[in-house]
Order: sequence, then structure tokens, then C-alpha cells
Amino acid sequence: MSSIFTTQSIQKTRSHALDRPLLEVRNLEVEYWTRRGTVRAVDDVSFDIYPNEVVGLAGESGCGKSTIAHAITRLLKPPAYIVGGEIKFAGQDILEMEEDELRGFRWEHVAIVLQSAMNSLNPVLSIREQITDVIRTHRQVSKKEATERARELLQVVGIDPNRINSYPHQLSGGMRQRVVIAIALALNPELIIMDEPTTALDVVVQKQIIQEIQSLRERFGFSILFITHDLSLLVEFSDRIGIMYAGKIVEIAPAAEIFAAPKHPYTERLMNSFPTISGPRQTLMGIPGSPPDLVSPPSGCRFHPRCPVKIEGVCEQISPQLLAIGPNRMAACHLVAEEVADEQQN
Amino acid sequence: MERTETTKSTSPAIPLQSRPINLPGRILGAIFPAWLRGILRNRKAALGVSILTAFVLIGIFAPVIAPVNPTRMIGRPHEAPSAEHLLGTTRQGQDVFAQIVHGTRTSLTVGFLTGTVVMVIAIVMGLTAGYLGGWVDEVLSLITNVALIIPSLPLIIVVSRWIERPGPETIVLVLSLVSWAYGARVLRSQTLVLRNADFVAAARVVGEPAWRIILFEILPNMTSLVVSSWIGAVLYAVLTQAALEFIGLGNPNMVTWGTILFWAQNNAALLTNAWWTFIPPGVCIALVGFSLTLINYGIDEITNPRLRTEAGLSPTPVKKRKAARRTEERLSA
Amino acid sequence: MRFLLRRLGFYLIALLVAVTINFLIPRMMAGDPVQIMFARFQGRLSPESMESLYQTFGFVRGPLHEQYAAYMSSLLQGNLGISVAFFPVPVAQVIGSALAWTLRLVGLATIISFTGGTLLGVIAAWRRGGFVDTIVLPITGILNSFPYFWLAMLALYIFALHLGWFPLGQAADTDLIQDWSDPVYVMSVIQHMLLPAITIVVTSVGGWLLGMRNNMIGVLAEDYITLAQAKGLPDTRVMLTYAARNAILPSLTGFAMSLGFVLGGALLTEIVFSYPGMGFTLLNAVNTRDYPLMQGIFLIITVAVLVANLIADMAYVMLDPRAR
Repeated sequence: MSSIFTTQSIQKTRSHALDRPLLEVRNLEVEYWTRRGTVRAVDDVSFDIYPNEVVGLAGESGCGKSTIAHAITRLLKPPAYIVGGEIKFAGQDILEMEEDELRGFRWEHVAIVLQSAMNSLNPVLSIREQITDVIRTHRQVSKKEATERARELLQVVGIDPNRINSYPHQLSGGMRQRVVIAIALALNPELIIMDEPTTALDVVVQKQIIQEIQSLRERFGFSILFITHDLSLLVEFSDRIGIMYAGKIVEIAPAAEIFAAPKHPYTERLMNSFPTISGPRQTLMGIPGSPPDLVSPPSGCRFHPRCPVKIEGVCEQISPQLLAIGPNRMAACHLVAEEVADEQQN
Repeated sequence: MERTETTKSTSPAIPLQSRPINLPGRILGAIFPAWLRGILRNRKAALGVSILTAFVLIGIFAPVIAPVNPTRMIGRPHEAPSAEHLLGTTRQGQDVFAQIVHGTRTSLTVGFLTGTVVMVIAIVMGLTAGYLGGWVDEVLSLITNVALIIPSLPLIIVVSRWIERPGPETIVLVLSLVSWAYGARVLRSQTLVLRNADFVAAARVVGEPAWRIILFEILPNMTSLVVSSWIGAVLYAVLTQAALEFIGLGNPNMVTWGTILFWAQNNAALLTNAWWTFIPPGVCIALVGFSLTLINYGIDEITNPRLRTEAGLSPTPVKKRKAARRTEERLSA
Repeated sequence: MRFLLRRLGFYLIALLVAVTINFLIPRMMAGDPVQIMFARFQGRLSPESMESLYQTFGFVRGPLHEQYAAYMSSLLQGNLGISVAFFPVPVAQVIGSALAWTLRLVGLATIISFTGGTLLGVIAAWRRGGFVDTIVLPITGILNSFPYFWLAMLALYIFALHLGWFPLGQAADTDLIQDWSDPVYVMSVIQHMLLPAITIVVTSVGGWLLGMRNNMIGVLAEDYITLAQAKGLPDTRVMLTYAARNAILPSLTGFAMSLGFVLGGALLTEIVFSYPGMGFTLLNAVNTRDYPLMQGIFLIITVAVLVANLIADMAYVMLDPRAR
């Protein structure tokens, strides 16, 4: 993997095979142990991310997508607990790591960009310190080298390196998010998790940041797990998209396919409730009802109370499994399963 | 299309106009908001309320509990506790138990009275400054901050000495004039937050006058803060009253917990080992202080859920293997 | 810099208010303030000295603003009048030695209590449900709501009188001559300081602890803490540089309020221990109706508090770039 950086000591070589998944999430279960009861925020979620791939996760707020992001680097705080499953990075289970191991693993391999740029930076430290501390924690380099690297990183994300001694409050929202991205790039990680990285920004800056991320990815070749509720953004940006509902993945497919022909009724509704930046004009529709209370989730398919095409007597009782419905494509819906079965019979 | 229970719960918000009409409900809700009803379910607060209630009852029924005149000499000086004199006697041969019981009344009255006056001043200053903003806020905040930074105890001592009329009334007056600033500042910041709330904006649009908005829209929405500041003020008043009387700025002929300590100190109770004259009043003040603090902790826990989270915030969550196993067992069962 | 200048302006206003209160108190009381204030000097001072004492407190013939001007001008010359109790020593001199004792005892105890309480607060929030959080916090919280002077009495009774671990009050052995080059004297001073200092620390540490803990809990929920952890930084760096450095800022801005309470308690502790500082001297002044001394002490304590706050502000500016 090539790097444009001049500070040699900070680079690292990547040797991960391109055809094997970089990140494997298997049957992940996360619970919040609250006074009201146990909430299964992430329920039996499995997916892969390959090298150099952008995977999007979408869903309404509270569906568990951010919880997954935090679970991958084990950043969840009580009362959230990972109660089951595996998260393997390059074959190594993150959930089995001891604290020291985990500290070394974090940022070296997986970096994270959080929702609000406003609150992601420590207000009392200069951005130089916030970039160099991560470099100097993971690499044996001098202060001078680390600072040099920090200046390069700022250059890369389009910030004047002379602003390196600025404090967060002296930067605009867009610039702060660029700084956070620069920090994410500091160790040239294989995977960057982006948890709604643009929601706190205005539309123009949003667009700029997305383009920036895209060009950086082309340049450095990291994978991205991109989490958002903005489906139209995902369709343009990611290779594959997973749709989440009430803690479960209900559909996962290549972006183009999901856009052309959503299979799960929820995906379909979700697609209709957002305007696309490009593409044909269409009437926007909301989804009636509200996300379920996860303390006592609906029986059977969790979407059935809001589903316009539910099968009486089936959807309320049996929880649908995530089934392959095409190459590289899966959905968890009784209706879709019937269609697939019909096709196979014919 | 089928409408299910989940969809029913998303009924539109109650229209704003209907809010002021349900006045009895709102007043009731303001007097007994959810946090107040929850107070007795909070262990700390419940313990605090029980201790405080016990002292209030002792204060009310003092003549019944201790029929002995607390100022009369009824025994030998510095008698140790006995069946006859539960807590012994003072140097003047007065019954300490009777003094403690009767002193409860004055000490609590001064405490609650001062706390209340302090809160009234604090509410007026804090809410006016916070809601009106602009130069009014500038001036009132300046006054508040100055009152806050000038060390209160020395000022109270100096003023009390000049007034030359020692007694509970003087203490209430001086304490109230000097110690309202803390509450005013706390209430002002909360008012600044509430001022921008939707329901306040709505009331402004409807054309309610400022004093009505302050009294009926903002104040009812910060009862927990008002009550906890009030309790803090009562606590401060109880402690400071005792301190003032202890250094001789009370009326030494009245029986209060502070004057009992004053006489104990003056009669060298420490050196003569007459512990029964200075331990019991201190314990009483401490218990009242403790109960007030407990109530405030309770209110804090009820209204600030973040503090309540019992699970640690230790930032590296470790996978709960036991829990995971338990879950597996549950699922396989 | 603008922040500090604004604070400095505020402290000047506060000082002016304190001075004005001092000026007004005698004039607002019923009766003849001159009579009350100077009755005890009668016959001890020459008529000329009496006249200059009147001048010092602004009791000149003329309207209020002229009296005020006279009072201010004598204050600006550092003239606080003459003490009754320590006649004929000037008030400024009496306060001078008392202030030194108080700064040593209360200043040191407050610094220990503030740093200790703050550190314990950091630990309590970091290890929720740990030893500090579940044992130390409630105990110091309870102590914080107790009457300080009574705890001081108790400490004196138990540890000094009964167990004999500490001397019975005073600042040093009364047999010794004050001589800071004499190690025996210095040891004696330290011995006499221990128990009152411990009492002040124990009774005041709970406030700082609880405040810092609650601030920390708020800060720990911030995104930049999550990011710092995600960066794989060592726990100590996340805890101190990322969390504590932000959490201490409200403690510094709230310093004024907290210091007031702590100081009140400390002055009372001095009284119980007969420690010759400002509190004890104030009590003496109160008992002997030494009005000039009383008012001088109030003024100097105010100045000391304002200076302490200015120091807290400087620390704030150093820690928070937004205030620069």
C-alpha cells in the first residue's frame, strides 16, 4: 500500500488478502440493562466488510446502528453489554482481547469518526496535541516527527497546516470534522467507522466532506463502515448497504440493487421517505407508526405492526430469518421468502 | 391499512392552547410533580425525610416530651447522665435533655424561616434576571455575584455585633440578607435554559405578561431546583445559626442548640469532661444537617438520571462472559 | 486577557462594595455610631488622637459623600484605625500577624483539601461503584453537612485532650519565642497546625469531591472521551488530560462560592483551637466590642478571598483556551 507521507517511520505495510473479509461480525448481540428491563439493542447481527469496501448501515434512530459501531471497537459503556457473538478483525476476535491488546488494536486498525464534530474534539487541547498524542501512543517517534506527520495530515484533509496550533473553538464545524478525519487517518488504519459523520453539518459542507472522504479512500484504500439514517447518501456512497430495523438487519445487498429494487417492505418504505440527490422525482412517503419499544418488542417479525403487506397469522408469530435471495443479497421477510420459494419451484 | 397499538401511541401533541385551561391539574402537577412523588421511594431521601420529621415532631411537642423548664436550675452543676436527668445537667444545673428538646423548636424555626426568606429573595432575583435578560440581568447578576464573593460569615458576625439586639429575629434577618445569592445564581441559570423552551415561547406569543410567564410557566418547571436550593438554604441557616450562637452572638438567655454549645464552651465543658453538654446538641445539629443533605442527594438522583446510573462508567467495557453464558442458557432452554 | 481584565474589574467592584458596606454599617445602626464605636477609647486617647480616629472612619462634619471621601482616603493610605483590644496597636498591625497565621493554616488546608478532593472526585467518577465512590464519598458528604466548629470541638476533645496526640490549641508552644530559624519552634508550629488543618480538610474535602465527581460524570459522557478511548490512549491520559482537565473548569468558576463556605468553617475552627488567626482575632474583637478591628478583619478577609479567586481565574485561563 503506498503512502504519500514523507515521515517514513509512521507508515505501515498492509498484507491483508483482498478476497478475505477484513471484518466479520457474527451473531452479535448487545443488550442495555436498564431499570425498565433488558433491551436487546442489537439482535443476532452478522455481516462482513472486505478490504477497500464501503458498507453502509441505515435505519431509523434507535435501530441499533450506532450501537454496532461502538461495539466493534468495544466502546460501549454500561448499561450496554455485548452478550453474544463474535467480531473478528483479520481473523482475530476483538471481543476476546485483553485491555492492553485492545488499546494497541484501537486506531491502529480501526478508527472511528463520531456523529458530531462539535463534541468529538477535546476543547482544551490544541489540534496538534490531539493528532500527535495518538501517533506517539502507537509509534515510537519523536515529538517533532509526530508534529510533521500531523501537518501532513491536515494538508491531506484540506486544512492549512499552519493552523495546527488552533483550538477546536477556533475552527468551523466543517473544519472540525476534517480534523477528526485527519486524526482517523493518522495511523493509516484498514477500517474507518463513520457514525453519521455529516449530520451535524449544513448541506454544502456535508457534500464537501463526503467528497473528501471518497477521494481519501481512493488514495489510501481503507474500508469504511458508514452509518447514517440518510439512505440517499448511502446509495451514492457505498458498495453494499445493510438496512436495520429494531436491532436486526432486515436486508443487505449491493447499493445499486437495493436502490433499483428494494425487497424488504421496510427498505421500500425507507427508500420512499427520502429524496434522492439525483434520480427521478417521486412522491415522498413517511412510514406510519413509530419504531417499537425494545423493552417489549413486537412478536414475530418486528416490523409487522407497521407493515402494509404483512401475512396474517405468520408475520405476528414467526421471526423471519435472513435468507439469501440472490447472489450477494439477503433479506429477512416471509413475503420475500415465499417469492423466492415460488421462483425456485417454477 | 391496519392501525395497531404502536401507531395509536403516536397521537399528536396536545395543542398548546389547551394547556393553560387545565389550571387545577397544572397546579397540582406543580405541587406534586413526579420527582416529589418519587422522593419517598428513594432510599436516601426517605431516610432524610424520616429524620427531619422526627425532629419537627420533637419541636412541636417539646413541652410534652420534656415538661421540665429548660432554664431552671433543677440539679447540681454538671451532673452526669442518669435516669433522672437523661442527659445530665449543665454547669448551672439545668436539665440538658430538656434544653435539647426545647432548643429543637427555636433551631428548626430559625432554619426554616431563614431558608424560606432566602428562597423568596433568590427566586425574585434569579428569575427576574434570567428571564428579562439585558441590562436588568447585568445589574442583578452583578449584585448576585458580589453578594456571593464577599465572605458571608465575617460579614454576618460584624453586622450582628453592630445590631446589638441578639436573638433569633436578628439572626433570621441578617442571614437572609447575606445568603440569598447562591440560590439566585442557580435559579438564574436554570431560567436561562427554560426561557428558550417552546412552552415559554408559546406563552410569549399569546401575550402573557412577563410576571405571569415567570410565575406560572417557568417557576412550576423548576420546583425540584427550588426545593433543593431551599433545603440547602435551610441547612446553611441551621449551621450558621449554631455557629453565631456558639461564638456568643445569639441571645444567651434563650435555649437553642447553639447557645447550649456556647455555654458548654464558656463553662470549660471540654476540660471538665462534661461531654453530655456538648455532644448531644452537636449530634442534633449534625443529624438535621445529615437529613437535609440526604434529601438533597435524593432529589439530585431523581432529577439527574446520569448520577443515578449505578453501573460504573469505567470506560473499557469488558464483554460480560457470564452474562453471555446466561443468555445462551436462557435461549437454549 | 480580556477575561482576566473583566474579572479584575469585577473584583474591584466587589471590593468597593465591601468597603462601602463597612462605611455604611455604623451609620445605619440606631443610636450614635461615634458613641458606640469609640466609647471605649474615651480617656485613653488624647483629644487630638480622637479627632484623627474620627477622621479615619469618616466621621467628619459634612454630608455623607464628604464622610465617604474622608473614609476612602484614609483607607487608601492603609489606615484601618487603632485596635481597642490591643490598644494602642494599629488595626493593620494586629491583622498582619493574624493574617499570616491564617494563610499558613487555612491556606494550606484549603489547597490540600481542594487538590485532594478534586483527585478523589476524578477517581470516584472513573470507578463508579468503587471504593471512593461508595465509601469515601458518602462519609465526606456527611461530614460536610456537620457543624464544623462542633467537629473541631470533638477532635480537640478526643485527639488532644483524651488521647494527647496533639497539643491543646494555640499556634505554637507558649514557652517558645517566635523565631523561624529555630527548628524547635518550627516543629512546634507544625505540631500545633496538624489537628486544626486535618479538621478543616476533613470537613471541607467532601464539597470538592462531590462537585468534581459530578462534573466528571458529565464530561465522561462526552464524545471526545469516547474518541480518546477509541484512539487507544492510555487510561491515565484519557482520565486526566481529556476528562479531568475539562471537568475541573466548573470547579474553578465556582471557586468563589465554595471558598466562602470553606472559609467560614475554617474561621470557626480557628476559634475552637484558639489559633491566633483571623477567626480567633475576630472573635476577640467581637467579645471586646473592638469595632475598628472587626471591620478591618472583614475588609482584609474580603481582599484575601478576592485574591484567591483571581488566582483561580488565572488557573482557569491556563487550562481553558476559550478564556484566552
